[in-house]
Amino acid sequence: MPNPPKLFLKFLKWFCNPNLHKPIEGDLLEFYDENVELHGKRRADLIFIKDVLLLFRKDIIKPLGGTYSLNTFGMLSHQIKLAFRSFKRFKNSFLINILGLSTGLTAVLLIYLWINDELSVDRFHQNDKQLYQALQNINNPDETFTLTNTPALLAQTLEEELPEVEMSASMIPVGSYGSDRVIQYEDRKLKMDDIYASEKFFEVFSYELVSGDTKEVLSKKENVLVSESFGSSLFGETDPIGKVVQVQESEDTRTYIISGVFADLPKESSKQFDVIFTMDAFLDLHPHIREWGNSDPSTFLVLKENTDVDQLSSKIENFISTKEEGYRHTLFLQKYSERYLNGNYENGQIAGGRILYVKLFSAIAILVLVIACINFVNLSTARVSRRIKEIGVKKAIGATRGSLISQFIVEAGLIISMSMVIAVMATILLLPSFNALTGKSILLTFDWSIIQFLFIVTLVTTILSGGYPALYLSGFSTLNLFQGRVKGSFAELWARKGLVIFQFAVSVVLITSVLVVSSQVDFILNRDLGFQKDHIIYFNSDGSLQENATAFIDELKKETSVINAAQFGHDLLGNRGQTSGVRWEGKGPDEFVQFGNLEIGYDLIETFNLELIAGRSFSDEHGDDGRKILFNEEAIKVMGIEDPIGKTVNLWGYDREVIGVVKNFHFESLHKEITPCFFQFTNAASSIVVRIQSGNELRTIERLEEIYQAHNPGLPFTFKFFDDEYDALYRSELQISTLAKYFGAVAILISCLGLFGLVAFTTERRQKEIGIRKVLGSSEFNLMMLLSSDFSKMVAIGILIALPISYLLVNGWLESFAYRIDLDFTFFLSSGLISMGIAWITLGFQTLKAAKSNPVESLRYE
Amino acid sequence: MKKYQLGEFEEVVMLTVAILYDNAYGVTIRKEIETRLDRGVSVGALQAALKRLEDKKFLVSSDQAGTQERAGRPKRYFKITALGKEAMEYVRSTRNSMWDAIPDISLDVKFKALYNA
Repeated sequence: MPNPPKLFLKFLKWFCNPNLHKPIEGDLLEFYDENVELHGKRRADLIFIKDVLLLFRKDIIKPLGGTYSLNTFGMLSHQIKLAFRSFKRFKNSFLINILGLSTGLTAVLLIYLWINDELSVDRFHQNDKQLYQALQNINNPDETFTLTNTPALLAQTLEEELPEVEMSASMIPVGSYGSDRVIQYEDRKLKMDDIYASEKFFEVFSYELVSGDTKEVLSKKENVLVSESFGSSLFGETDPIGKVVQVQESEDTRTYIISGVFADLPKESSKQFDVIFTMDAFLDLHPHIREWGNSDPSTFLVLKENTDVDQLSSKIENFISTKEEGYRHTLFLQKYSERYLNGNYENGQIAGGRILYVKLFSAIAILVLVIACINFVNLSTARVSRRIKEIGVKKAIGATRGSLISQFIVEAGLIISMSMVIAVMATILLLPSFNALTGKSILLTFDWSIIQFLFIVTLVTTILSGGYPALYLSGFSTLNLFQGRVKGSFAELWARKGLVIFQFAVSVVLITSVLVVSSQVDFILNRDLGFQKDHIIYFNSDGSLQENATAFIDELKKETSVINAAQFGHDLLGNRGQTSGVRWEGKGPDEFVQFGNLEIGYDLIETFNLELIAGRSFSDEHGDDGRKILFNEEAIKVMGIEDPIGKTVNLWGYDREVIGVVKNFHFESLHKEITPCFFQFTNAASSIVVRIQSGNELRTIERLEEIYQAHNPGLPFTFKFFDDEYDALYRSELQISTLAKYFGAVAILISCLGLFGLVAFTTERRQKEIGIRKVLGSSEFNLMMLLSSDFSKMVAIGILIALPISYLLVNGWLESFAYRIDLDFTFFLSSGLISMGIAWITLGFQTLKAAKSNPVESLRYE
Repeated sequence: MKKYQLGEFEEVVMLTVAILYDNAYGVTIRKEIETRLDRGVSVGALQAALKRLEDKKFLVSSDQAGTQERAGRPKRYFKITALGKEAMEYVRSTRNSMWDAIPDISLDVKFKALYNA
């Protein structure tokens, strides 16, 4: 007798409800035999197959749940049901866990987004992996400085002479030759952020071209490109290509032709510009840059694949000296996309930068998450006595250790998944304020990488927080469980205590850091700088102001709301010239002193309210000019000149008469100490500074704009408030300090939640003891002391451990400031007191409730 | 009302089981339907209907040891329960009452044709 196809018999057996399987199979076989006789085996097989396939339907397939072989599903639904029941039964610890974990996860998520954003900067270029920048080290005898500037010919020459270099580009970054330069099309004038770039710029970098050919757009000297949005504000609706624009270069007006339009730059680009001129045009304007001895452009190289970068870097170290004899600066390579995070150089070595903050926040994220996990671990292991019976019964009826473990893991996973959902929602809600705080524009988009991240974090958190309780709770012997003998061993108790201690230690470190960082930032922002930074606005001497600044300033001064105004070639924000070209009587032949070079007009000293300690400032009445000079206190000290007024020093080979000494003031970032500087006179400085009366700023600025427009018709009046710009110098410190405050608060909040949960639990367990003690005459205060002394000890130990660690951390950070607060004991005392205080409030809340309770309530049932 | 829910195919199956009396199992039921109604019935559709009817307690089943030709697989015989009988009668009486409610004229095809014209 022929048999039906085995495969389909097996298939039937696999899917069919076992209750129905045998009779159905019997029926099928009966039909099969009949069909074989009627139609032959082939046809019978086909009919059989058709019948089996048609049996694959809802009522015949075995159910997913139940007690059949798909038992895991049944167990899982059982475990989820039990988990929800235990959440309901222990509402307090459930809420504490949810609150703690979701807060922690929100912090982690926000930090992840921030770090991701930081790490994505400049990585979008297609050549990213091979894209390097050549940097120069200036090897002075006492210190090595690193420059991003290189000779103009370097890029092209390296490409031609080294086989490892595939492509190269050079570029003059924004603002190198004066910021806010003006471009003109017909009557319309706009200020631009412009760069000069060499021919292969668009091949080396992956900035998108909207129109124009990648290889052609920068090929002719008079070519210029604009960004899409800049183009539409300059040309309106019309197509920019081929339009002729003018740019005022120092002496004459140059004409350029728009050869292309590039898409607005992505926010991931660290360089932001809206107009590109050709490098040839730049070299035309500044022919001296063509020489090897002069450095200005940045050099970018695309290396061939599999190039040994370190080897190449040392190979080109002395490359320039082969072109220019006696050239002492050395070259090295750094990956371009790494420069954003590692943009600081110390003694010729790459010395971090923003990567420090990335690392700092990664550490904070991990700590906050660990603290939240510790809560979970503590609460679930402390709760063990409440679940003894459940575990005991399960074990007695044959639950294996594995299934108990999986139950607790499922419980943890469920809580954590819920917290994750809450955290994602909270993140979406918080992102706008977070962006405002960090100055970013991060969006939470659910792409593959973020889903992966959420999944991994959920998994790791589940294992971290569910793993230990699962192993611990499932490890008791059944007999002990029923006899109630699960007194935690000494080691287990200490593990729990240790975790609380750790939580508070971390919190104290964070609180101390927050205190120190914020007071240091306050110190900087409110420090007496030696000048007044409020109510000062400044703007560039654009257009015709360059020639008749004096008349313009005189006009400004006639306004009653203008207190003073002056020309200035510096901004006291760190952008300044420096020179060692000062010689004075008694200067040693090897003495090398760098002087800050500040070019100022009349009345500048008065405008900034700088204090003179001797002599006078530049003044119209004395007909002062370039033959006079002022120094700061530090410079006089360094030069060792006594009674300097009227003495002569030599600057760049010309004698200058010292007419005044200015009290020391901070003319650059407080990260640096005050160095010697001098003031020389100019009447054609790059910017104009105006001190205005407080109270009516808007009106005053409108008036200033009118005067400005009268001199520069059609040119937009863009100005800056000096104090805003000054605060911006410390923006990253401010951001870090605010962020640290929030995350510190989150950490202590979560720690206290955990403490709260633990105390609530122990007081509940000791209710009868408390009742008996009360009946026997214990006072409420005594009871509170009794209940909180254990926890106070833990918190105190945590604080003691944290203090030296936080000292080391904040001290290291403070050392990056030349002017810093004294790290005295009060910081540590107050952070200790704060965390102790918060802990006590948490403890007091619970213990007072327990101590106040009527003993009848707790003893009644005995 | 709800408890007598009986689909068209389910009703056919019930009737067939009743006809076959104590010889109603998968193979015979299927053959009976196919010959009486002259339509093909897949094993799947039939077994699903039988399972549903059993779940509704309209049918009970009992297994009998299998014969040689079935490779020892048991035959599952079906019988109508009291509830099943009630359901069938309910369906029949509702049908009848509906038939009775039809006015003669509505089925008068001749008149209908005239009416349409």
